[in-house]
Amino acid sequence: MSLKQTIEMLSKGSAQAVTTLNSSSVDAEKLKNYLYVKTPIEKSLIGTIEESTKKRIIFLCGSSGDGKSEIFCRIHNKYSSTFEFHLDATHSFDPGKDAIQTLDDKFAEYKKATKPLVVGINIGMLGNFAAEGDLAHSDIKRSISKFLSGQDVSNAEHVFINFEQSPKFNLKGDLIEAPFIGPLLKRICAMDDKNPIYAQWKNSPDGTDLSRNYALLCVPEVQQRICSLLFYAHLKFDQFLTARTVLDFVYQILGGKGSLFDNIFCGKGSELFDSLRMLDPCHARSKSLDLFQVKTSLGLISPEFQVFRDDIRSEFGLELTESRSWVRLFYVMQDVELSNNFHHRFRDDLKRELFDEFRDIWQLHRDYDGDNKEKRTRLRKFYNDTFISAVTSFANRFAPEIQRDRFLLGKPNGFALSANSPIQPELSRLASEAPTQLRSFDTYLKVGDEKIGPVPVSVSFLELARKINHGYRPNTHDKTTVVKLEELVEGIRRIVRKTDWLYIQTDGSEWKLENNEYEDEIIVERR
Amino acid sequence: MQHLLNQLARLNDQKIGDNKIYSFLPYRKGAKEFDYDVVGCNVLSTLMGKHVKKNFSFEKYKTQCLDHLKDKLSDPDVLVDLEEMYFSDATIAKTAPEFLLLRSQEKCNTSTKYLIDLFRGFVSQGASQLDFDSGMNFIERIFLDILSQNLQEPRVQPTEACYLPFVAENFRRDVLFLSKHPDYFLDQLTSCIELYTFIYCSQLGLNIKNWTNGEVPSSKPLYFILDTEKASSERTLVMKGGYRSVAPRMADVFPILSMLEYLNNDSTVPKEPLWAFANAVRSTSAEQHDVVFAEVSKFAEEFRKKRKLHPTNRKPSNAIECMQQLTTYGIKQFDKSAKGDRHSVNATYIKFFETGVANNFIQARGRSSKVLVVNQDFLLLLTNLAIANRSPLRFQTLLAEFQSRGFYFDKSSQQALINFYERVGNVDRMSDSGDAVYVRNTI
Repeated sequence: MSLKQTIEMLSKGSAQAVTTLNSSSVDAEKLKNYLYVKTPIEKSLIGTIEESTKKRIIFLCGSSGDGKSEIFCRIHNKYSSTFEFHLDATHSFDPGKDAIQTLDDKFAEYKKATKPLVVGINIGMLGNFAAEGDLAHSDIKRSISKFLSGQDVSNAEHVFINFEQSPKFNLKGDLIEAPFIGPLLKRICAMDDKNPIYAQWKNSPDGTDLSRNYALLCVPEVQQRICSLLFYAHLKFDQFLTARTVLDFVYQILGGKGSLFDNIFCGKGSELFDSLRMLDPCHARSKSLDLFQVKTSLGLISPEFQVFRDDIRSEFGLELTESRSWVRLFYVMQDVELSNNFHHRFRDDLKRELFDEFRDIWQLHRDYDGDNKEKRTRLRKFYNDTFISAVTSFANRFAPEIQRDRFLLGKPNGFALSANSPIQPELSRLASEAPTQLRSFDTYLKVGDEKIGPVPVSVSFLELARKINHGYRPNTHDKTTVVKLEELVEGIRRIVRKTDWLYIQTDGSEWKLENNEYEDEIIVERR
Repeated sequence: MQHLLNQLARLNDQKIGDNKIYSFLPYRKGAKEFDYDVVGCNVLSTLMGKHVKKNFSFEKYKTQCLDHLKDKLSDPDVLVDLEEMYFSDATIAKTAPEFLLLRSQEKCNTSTKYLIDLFRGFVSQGASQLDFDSGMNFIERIFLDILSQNLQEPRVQPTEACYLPFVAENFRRDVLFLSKHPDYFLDQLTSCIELYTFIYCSQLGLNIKNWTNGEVPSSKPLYFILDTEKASSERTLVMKGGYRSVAPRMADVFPILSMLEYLNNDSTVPKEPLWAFANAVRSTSAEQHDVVFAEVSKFAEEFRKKRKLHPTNRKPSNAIECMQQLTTYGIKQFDKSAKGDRHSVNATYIKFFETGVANNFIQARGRSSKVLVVNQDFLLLLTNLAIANRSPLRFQTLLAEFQSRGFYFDKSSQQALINFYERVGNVDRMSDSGDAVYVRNTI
C-alpha cells in the first residue's frame, strides 16, 4: 500500500467511508482502529446500555457520517445478546417496503419481544417517522416530536442520545478548542509507527505534493489554524462537521493538486469547500498586502522575502509561484516561527475581526453572572456601540434629519414622526441566560419599561450590524438577515409609539407634542 | 337538499336566453382591473363586523378629527402640519389596520364589486370579531375614537354558497393569522387578496369539470417554479402540470357556470355549486331521480335545439349523465365552429384570467413557452401564512401546506426553495440530511 492509497481511504468516495457489520479490508480496519477517537457520545451510549437491560428504545441520532455505524460496529458483538440493534434506519432491505415501513415493523417486533432496542437514526428520518409513522406507534411518535422540538422526553421508555448535543468546538478565551477534530488531526499526523499514514509517509519518495502537504499538516499550529477555519465555516455557513466530512476534507487538502494552502481555499465539490472559498485570506484588503501582491507578481522581491522564500524552500521543499498562494501561507502559518518571520508582519491584516468579536461577545454572554463589573462594562459597550446603535441607524435610515437618540415611527407625507424611549440591554436577564449553542447568543433589551427578546444574534447578524455602523444601508431587496433586523425594529417601534411625547419634524419646523392626560390637553412646543 | 332537486324539476319553466353569469366567478364580460386594496378593506370590515355609517364621508371625518384636536392642543398652529401629515392623500388609512375601514366605502368598478362579494362569502361564515393590537400613538388613538363613533353593524347577507370551501377555509385562517401582526397585515393584505383571487380562479378551473361524484372539491395539483429558476422543457411536471394544465380548463369555466345559472332558478335560496346539485341527485330516491332525469333530459334537448348543436352520441342513462350532457352542450356552443360571436365571448373570459387575475403568476419563458411562477414577495407571504404559529415547521409539512393552498413544486423547485430560505436565513437544519430542514416564519 502506498501513501496515496492510504490517504484515499479517508475520502468520502472510498468504499471504506461507510461502515457495515461485514468487515472491510485488513488495511482499512487497521487505519480505522488507529484513527478512532472515542467521543462523549459513545461513552454516554455505553453508559445508557450498561445501566440496565430494561426493555426500552435507545435512539442514537445524528447526521449521516457522524459515526453512528462505527460506534455500533464497535459495541455490537459485546451487547448483541442482550440488545436488539437496528443499524441503518434510513434504509429498507425489502424492496417492497420503504424506510418508514421498516421502522414500523421494527417497533412492532420490539413491542412483542422482551429485548431492549437500539436504533441508529438520522435526525431527518426521525422527523419523517414522527410525521408518517404508523398510528400504532403513536407513543413513540409523541416522544420523537417532543425530542425534536427540544423538550425533555420524560418517558423513560424512549431515550435519545444526540450527536449534536456534544459541541464540536469549545471557546476558551482566545482559544478555539475542537474536542473531536483536534485529536483526529493529531492522530493523522502523529510521528509514530503505529500510525499507518506516518509509516507510509516515511517510506514514500520526497518531492511529491502529497508528501510535502503531509509534512505541512504535521505542524501543530497549522492544525490549530485549520480547526479555527472549520469553526468559522461552522458558524457562518452552518456547516455540519461530521467525522466523514472532516476525513474527506483532510483527504482533499492533502491529496489535492497543489499546495496545502491552495487546497484549503480553492477546493471544490463539497459545501464545506464552498464556504472555505468565502473565507479565503486573499479577500482581505490592506495596503501592505496589496503592495506585497503587486510587487511579487512583478518580480520585485524584497531581501527579507527572498530569505524567507529560500528558507521555506529548504525546509518544506515548497515552490510557490503565485503571490496569492503566499498570502494563504502567511495566513495558515501565522502562528508558526519560521525563518526571519517575514510573514508575521501581515498578521494584523489577516485578522478575522468579525469572528473574534463574535467569539468574545458570545463568551461574555456565557460567562456574565451579574457580579463582574468589568464584564458588565464590556457588555454595555457592545450593546450601546454595536447592537443598539445599528438597530437605531437602521430604523432611522429614511430620516437622517432626526436626532440620533430618537426612533423614527414613520414618515407620513414627508413629516418625520419620531419619539424617544431609552433602549438598554436587560442585564439581569443576560446574567441568568447562557447561550445553548455556538451558532448564536440571545440578546434581551428593555425599551422604556417593556422587554424585548430573546433576539438571537448569529455571526451574519453581527456582520450586518457592524456594516450598518460603518454606514452601509441595506434595503428590503437584500433579503438576508435584514428580515430579522426589521422584525426587531418593528417590535421596538410598537413600544416607542405608545410614549407620551412625539416629535414632528419637517423642512422648516419642528414640534414637540406632549400628551398630558391629567390636564386632558396636548401641550405643543415649537422648537 | 330538497330545494336543489326542486329547482332541477323546475328547469323547463325557464326561457333559454343568452348565456349569463351572476355568481361564483369574480369577472364578467368587459371586466376591468381589480382594485385589491378596496377588496381588502371590505374583507376587513366584514371580519370586524363593522361598517362606516351610510352618510359617512372622509371630509366630514377629517373635520371632526381636526375640530376635536383643536380644542385639545395648547398651540393650534401645529394643526396645519398635522392635517397635512395625516389627511392629505388619506395617509391615515395606512397607519393602522382599523383605519382601513375609512376606505371600504370608496367607489370602485363593478369587477371589484364582484370580487368583494366573493371574498365576503369566504369570511362571512363564522365572521369573528377582530381585534388589533396595533400600538398607536396618542394622536392616532384620538382619531380612532372618532372613527368608532362613525361605525355601525353591517347588513349584507351572502347570496351564494362558496364553490370551493377549502379555499374559503384557508383564506379565513390565513387572514386571521395575519391580523395578529398588524404591521405585516397592513403591508400584505392587498397581496394576500391578489394571491387568493388567483388561487380561487385557478382551482376553480381545475375543479370545474370534477363535479359528477358530488364530492366537495379539493386542491388539485398545479405546478409552479420560483421566478429565479430556469424552466427546462425536461421538467415534465412543470411543463404539463403547470400553465398548460390550467389554461385550457379556464375555457370551461364560463360555459359551465352560465349553464349553472339555469339550475339555480330559485332566487329565494342561496345559489349552490354544481357539485352540490350532483350530490343531491346522487343521494335522492329512485322516484325523485326519475323526475329529475326526465326534466333535465327535456331541458337539454330544448337547449340543443335552441343553440343548433349536434346531439351527443351516447344517450344518457341517468340524471347525472344527463347533466353531463347538458354541460357538454354548454361548452360546445362556444366551439370555434359555432355560429355567431360566442367563441370570441368566451375568449375574452380566458384572456382576462391571464391578464387580470394571473398576470403576476404567468411568465413566458422562451422555448418552454408560458409557465406558472411565484415571485419572492408572494413566496415569502405564502410561507408565512403556511407556517403561521407553528414556527419552525418541517419542510415536508410546509410543502403539504403549500399544496393545500394550490401551490405544488417539483423536486428541483423544492431545492430552489431551500436555497431561497437559506438566503433569507430562516432555515434551521438539525442534521445534514435533506429531510431535517425546518423553516421559520419571518414575522
